[in-house]
Amino acid sequence: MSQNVKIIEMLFSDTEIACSSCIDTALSQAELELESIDETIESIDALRPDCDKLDYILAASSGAICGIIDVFLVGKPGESPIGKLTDNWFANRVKDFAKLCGWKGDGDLASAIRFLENKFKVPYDQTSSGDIAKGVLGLNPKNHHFKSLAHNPTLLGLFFSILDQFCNTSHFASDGRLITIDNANGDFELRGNNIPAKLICGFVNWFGHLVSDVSGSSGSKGRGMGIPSPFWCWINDIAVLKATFKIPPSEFDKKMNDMAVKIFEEGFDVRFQTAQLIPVFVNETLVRIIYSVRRLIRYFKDMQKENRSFQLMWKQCESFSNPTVKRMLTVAHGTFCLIDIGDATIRGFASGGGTFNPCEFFLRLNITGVGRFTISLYGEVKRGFQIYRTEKDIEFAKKERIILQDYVDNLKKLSKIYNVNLHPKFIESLNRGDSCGAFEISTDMAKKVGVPDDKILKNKDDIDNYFKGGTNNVTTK
Amino acid sequence: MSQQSEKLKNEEKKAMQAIRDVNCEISRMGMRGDILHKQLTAVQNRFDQIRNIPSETRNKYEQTKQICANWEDQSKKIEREYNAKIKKAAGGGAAGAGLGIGIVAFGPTTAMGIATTFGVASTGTAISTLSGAAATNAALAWLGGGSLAVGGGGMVAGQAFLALAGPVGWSIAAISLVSSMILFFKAKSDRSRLENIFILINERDTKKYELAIAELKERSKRIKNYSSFWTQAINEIEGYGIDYNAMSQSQKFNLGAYANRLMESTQLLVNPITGLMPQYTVEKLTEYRNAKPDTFSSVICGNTTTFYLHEECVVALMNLLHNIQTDETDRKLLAKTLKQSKEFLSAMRISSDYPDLRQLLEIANVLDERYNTYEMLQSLQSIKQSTQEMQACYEAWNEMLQSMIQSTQEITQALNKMRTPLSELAKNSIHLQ
Repeated sequence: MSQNVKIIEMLFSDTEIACSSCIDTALSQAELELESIDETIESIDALRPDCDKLDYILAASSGAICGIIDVFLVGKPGESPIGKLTDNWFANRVKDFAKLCGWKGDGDLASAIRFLENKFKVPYDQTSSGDIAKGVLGLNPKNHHFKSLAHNPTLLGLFFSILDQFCNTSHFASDGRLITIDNANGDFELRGNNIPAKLICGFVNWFGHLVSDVSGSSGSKGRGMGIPSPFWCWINDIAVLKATFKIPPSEFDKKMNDMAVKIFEEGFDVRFQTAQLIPVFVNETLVRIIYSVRRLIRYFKDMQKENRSFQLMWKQCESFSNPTVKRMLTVAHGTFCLIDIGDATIRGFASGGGTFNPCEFFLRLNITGVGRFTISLYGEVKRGFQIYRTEKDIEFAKKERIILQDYVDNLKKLSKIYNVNLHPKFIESLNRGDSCGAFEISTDMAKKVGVPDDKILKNKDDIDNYFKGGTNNVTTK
Repeated sequence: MSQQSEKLKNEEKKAMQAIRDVNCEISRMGMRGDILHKQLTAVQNRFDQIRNIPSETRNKYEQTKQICANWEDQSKKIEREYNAKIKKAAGGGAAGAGLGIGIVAFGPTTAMGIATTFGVASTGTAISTLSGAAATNAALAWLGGGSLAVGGGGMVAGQAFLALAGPVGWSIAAISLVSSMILFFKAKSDRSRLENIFILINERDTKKYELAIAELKERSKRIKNYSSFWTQAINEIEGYGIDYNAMSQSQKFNLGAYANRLMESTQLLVNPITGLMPQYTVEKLTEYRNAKPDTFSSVICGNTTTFYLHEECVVALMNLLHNIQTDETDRKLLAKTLKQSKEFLSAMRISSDYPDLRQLLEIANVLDERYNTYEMLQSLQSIKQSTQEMQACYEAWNEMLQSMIQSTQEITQALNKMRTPLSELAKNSIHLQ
């Protein structure tokens, strides 16, 4: 017996008994492929919005409410309750900035502005430069912040500010043309011992001067002119570009330039632009809150207590970068724009006495809202194209999945037949001298592989019949 | 070439490579199988000695063993003839290897050697039942497929070929010929649809080959393992002697275990390869027709004559479209494409102006879907049955446990009743002392 055990031990160590079979390896690989196809199929969910009726209704309502806020509380410069709030806010920020720069005043805005004007002197601050400038540029205190390129709160404005500070010049855009005045200010000197230092000083001067002008100048009566809105400064950018490439300005450019100057003179500056931002921002925030709250309620309603987790909750409720919230925002901003543009158009006709008054229209038009809606619309169109392209791929992937699933199912069947653990268990039983255990395992192995039932020995009687009876058939009971 | 055409070519190449890999694995398995076959023969001989088979019968076995030895030569002869037929059908020698033809190179020898040897030794089945054609049939059945052999006499032409359309043989070589017909379609959308269908067919077939490769590799590994196992087991069995009655219980059980292992090892050699089996055969379809006559009639209603005239063609198309989701437009285009393939038409024995090919495709598609549902229902029923059996077992065990608990309680009560008189008896005996 001990000799037999030794033999079996040797044979156990000699055989290649790997823990995982070829079938199991193929199965795990196939399951990975299946996962990959499932991810492809699910990827379209990341593009498709999942809004229900209530989402659309709430989004449209938010847009409508904010549209009404924009019509009645923002309106146009000079008739805007929210505009007054933003004016005050900017005034307070100017005073805070002045204090930061060393102003020790008593809270008087004009004094703060004066302090900043003296601290951040620039060569391009002419309200008019003689009769020629008045005649050629049409320059006056009401429009000089718009026409002066360095006063524009844009990158181009920064560029021209630094250029003017370096070269002691002044650049203006008027009637679609670019005009340069040399030797703008004989007293101006840009500080700094080297170019980088001068650049930094130039930037600081530009910024500081803009802050000094944002709430009007020190001698302003009333709210002052402020600095132009960055969204309307593009008209000046076009003039500069055309001048650079020596393209003569067209009539349309001149008309747009006049329009931009006119609305600036009516009070459409950075402060009013900020006031226009408020209903758009409220609309955006309201829609995202509505989305998150509804999903949160659904999460707590549907998820069992023991399965809840913060990560899962965040994944379901976060209102960024998912197509559903983006669709809701498109609807909300679309509704907002509809009300705003409708109101601006009606009042444009009303103020023109039957003819269309474009100045009135543009004063009331919430350009931030229009811009935000355009971005949403662009996103929808882009997603639409992606869905169209992906849908075809998804259809094909679903068909491939059927084939792969069949392959996986067949591999699983084979895995049961070719159970890799039974042979080592059989050997182990023989090693231990457990003949009955080894016999039971052998019966199981024969069944799995598909040996006909009448040929399998299932108990001691069958063994006796087989070896004593001289036939291959086992007696059935 | 469009991206899709590129993909189709790649899938065809993958399928070709898969066939070559299957061929390699079958060759390897065949070589190892030969060694195991000899060992199993030795074990069976030993068992025969223990079983004390009478001398007349032993003589008969000796004769059949001689026939067996001749049979090895016979089977090789059949294999040579078979391969010659295949090469003739393929129209060339070297081209055949890449077209799945080599797939039967080692199958018949091993399969027939094992199946016939054990068939004779254990059941006494006459070897004469396995004639040339039947032997090749057995090889085909073992491999689960056929090859491109068409024409000629016997079982290779007609039914066997048609029933075994896809995954082996016809499906790949002929599919690539058929798929080249796609170029004749002018409309881009039509070409795109057909390319998708053929890409899916190639993917399905490649997966079937991969399934076969996995199974063949596993079997090869096992055969190799079992060879070393049996080398030692033979020595152990010989150590037991030939007198069964003189053996200990443990040795008897060990012998029983080895007998089962012998059957299992044999089955390992002769079981058909799952991945190479056709999904549908005429027999399977007949079985389904008998099981669900109403469903079957509703599918072929209005096309009964067409169906029975071309039953084999329907089976081939069912194999072609198995697991491939198509809509009506796809099948219409596929019918047009298949009609342009002379190889397909001659294999199906259909003329090029046959009007009802699309009809046959529709029937094949519906039957495929219905059969899948039927199979699913059957497996659900067997699961239900197993669950009911398990439940019955559980209830029986439960009853037994309940009765055991009751008996234990009764015993405890009886013992408690006996305690008082026993303790009194003990007291009295102490008192008396």
